[in-house]
Amino acid sequence: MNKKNKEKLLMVKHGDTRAIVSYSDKKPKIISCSGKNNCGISKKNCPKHCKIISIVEEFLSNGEKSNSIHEIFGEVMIGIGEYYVGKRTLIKTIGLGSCVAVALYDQKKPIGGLAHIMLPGASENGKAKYAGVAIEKMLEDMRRMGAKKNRIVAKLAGGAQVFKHITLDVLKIGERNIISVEENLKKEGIEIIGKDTGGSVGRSVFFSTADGSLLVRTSPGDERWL
Amino acid sequence: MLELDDLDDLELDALKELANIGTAHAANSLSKLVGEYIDMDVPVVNIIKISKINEKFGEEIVAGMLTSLQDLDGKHSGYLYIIFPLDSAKRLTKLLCGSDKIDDMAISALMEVGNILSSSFCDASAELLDIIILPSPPNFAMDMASAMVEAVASVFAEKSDYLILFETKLRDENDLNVYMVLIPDVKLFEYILKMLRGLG
Repeated sequence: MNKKNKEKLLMVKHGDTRAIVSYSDKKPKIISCSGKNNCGISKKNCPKHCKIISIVEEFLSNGEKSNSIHEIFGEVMIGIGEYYVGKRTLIKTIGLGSCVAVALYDQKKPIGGLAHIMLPGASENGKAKYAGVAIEKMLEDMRRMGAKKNRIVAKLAGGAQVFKHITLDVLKIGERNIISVEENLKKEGIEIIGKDTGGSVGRSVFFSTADGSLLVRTSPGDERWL
Repeated sequence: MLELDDLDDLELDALKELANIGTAHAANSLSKLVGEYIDMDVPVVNIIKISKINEKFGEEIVAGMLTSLQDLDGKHSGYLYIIFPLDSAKRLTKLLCGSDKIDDMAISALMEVGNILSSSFCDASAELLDIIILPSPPNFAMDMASAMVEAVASVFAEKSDYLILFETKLRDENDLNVYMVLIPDVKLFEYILKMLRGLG
């Protein structure tokens, strides 16, 4: 697990558009934006001024928080089989193939967690690489931080089958991971409100526990927000 | 859990020698195929925490080929992961098919290169160890290097938190790079050590 606190980050929402914006010296810079729907311009040709930037500038000049802006106080990268729970944190994990990323968050409080699950089922050794163990541990940590279970919802990404010409059955682990994650969430009574699973492409994910936004970036470069 | 620290220098050298012989044969085969001199780096043996695998292999999109290695009993005893960075994959395709477009034909050609590399690697190391190792048909994909190795990591993760990696690199004078990573299971690794101790 790697922690860093270099840049200041904001999660910004405007209508259906969601964006991760960093800033230093009151100058905002868009890191990622789902803007295609709204402004019709891809992030590579972002206009110098858009609604997202003006929301951020307004926030930076008067410090007033609105529903459309959420502050992030830290970034964490988790490895395979690890999980992290935190308040107002951007949790990242890269290179998901057959593994499944499970994001949990409290809909009323900025508390959430992300797990990079490798294996279906559970294990007595209590290691978070197993779906059952990771979900149980995340829920417990979130409860201790003040989250309420009946407000917690889940988003999933991953479980791909990256090899098209597959000759080895043992490598078909993605599908089993998805099934196991879904079963474990059902057992805990957690609703899945968004997922981008299966298929044949690798994914990297960014999860904001400030507002529950999950950004999925696929290996061909597509970005989806859940 | 075995640790690399438990091995003395002689044993580490022997392990590297094994990877060396395998890679040398693979380099020789690749050299014949492309008609160019192929050089190889000194192999590195690493024991790495599985949780660090995605950071190690990273998000770079590569052409990757994964082969399982089996002994005669049909038990899986490890994997060989061959990585062609995209520009190298294109150069190989250009050499073999005449165009650097990565289409189905090019993928077949790359898989064949992978086949030749893994067979020559297996032949050479198996001869030294006096066992028979058969490579499975290759599994091919173009994706993030770490996304491809994840399924293998999951298979090993059921028993251990660590992976043993023998890493080597083949290259020509013009930025053609091919990475070969042997991931033995613990049984094969212990067998290799036993044999190498016997040889020493």
